[in-house]
Amino acid sequence: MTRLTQLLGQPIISLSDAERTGRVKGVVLAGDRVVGVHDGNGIIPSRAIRSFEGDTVTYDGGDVERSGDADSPLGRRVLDDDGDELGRLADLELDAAGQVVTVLLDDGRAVAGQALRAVGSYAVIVHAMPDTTLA
Amino acid sequence: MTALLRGRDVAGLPVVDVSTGEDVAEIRDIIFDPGGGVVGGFTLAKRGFFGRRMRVVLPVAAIRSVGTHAVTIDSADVITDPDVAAPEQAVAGDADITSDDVITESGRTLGQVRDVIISGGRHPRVVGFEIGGGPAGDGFIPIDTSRGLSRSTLIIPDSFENRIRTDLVGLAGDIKDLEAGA
Repeated sequence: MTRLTQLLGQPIISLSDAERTGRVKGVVLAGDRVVGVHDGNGIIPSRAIRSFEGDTVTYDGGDVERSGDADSPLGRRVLDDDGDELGRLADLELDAAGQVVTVLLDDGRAVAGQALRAVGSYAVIVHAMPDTTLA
Repeated sequence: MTALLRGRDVAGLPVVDVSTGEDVAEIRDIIFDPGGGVVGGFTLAKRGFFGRRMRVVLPVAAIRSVGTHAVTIDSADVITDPDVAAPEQAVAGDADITSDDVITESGRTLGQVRDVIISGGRHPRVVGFEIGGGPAGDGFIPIDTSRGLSRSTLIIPDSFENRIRTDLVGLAGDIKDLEAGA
């Protein structure tokens, strides 16, 4: 398990030539999964990444095409899909495959990762459920 | 969570597409059908300090929820050009009821309508009015679902004169009592 705050800034190394290609500048999320990381030059798809749990992100760099942009969602407002604000995004807990396990709010509360719907420039959206908040 | 919201609190709320997390517009005004006491939809403005009115509307059937911090939609595709709206998306009613006189069935003038009170959530509806400027003072009254509004007057049962509440918590209690038949 790792956290987004730990992942951001980590060096990114291509396994094909052992070159450091950059540092984690941002992530792309689709629902409750990280589908790409931005290394400063473009987005590396998660399918090329070996693991998110080390202190360096390694990826199979052979034929990775970089495109698009991504930033950090930390500090963004967290809304449930009924339009009620839960707080600000403090962190995301991720497993080795980039699955979001927990959404951490700035007031110390936590939301189950499976409730995560979308991360946009305006808000992080989670499903409105009575049992969404874990603590 | 279902909250009671003043119309002026809903105006200015962002319209957020929950499939993307993007704010696609903001609420400009509530389209209210005084005949049936229902929210027909919302007019929209572009986001920002100088956001100008958008030609499109948001029918109430197309929204996911009216929340305390945003009106949510499942997709930006539901925002409708009023000229091409499908019949099921047509927005009924467009009346400005603020400043309508509030009169009891016995003819006693209590004041004027200051705002509508909406019960938010996934089935938003008008549940009451904020009134003021009259002998009854400022407060909140529930809507009488048995009668609509005319274009200039809100007529309420005589018994509602005793149901003027000073805050939305009191109004919520009254609405609960009325719905329970108390």
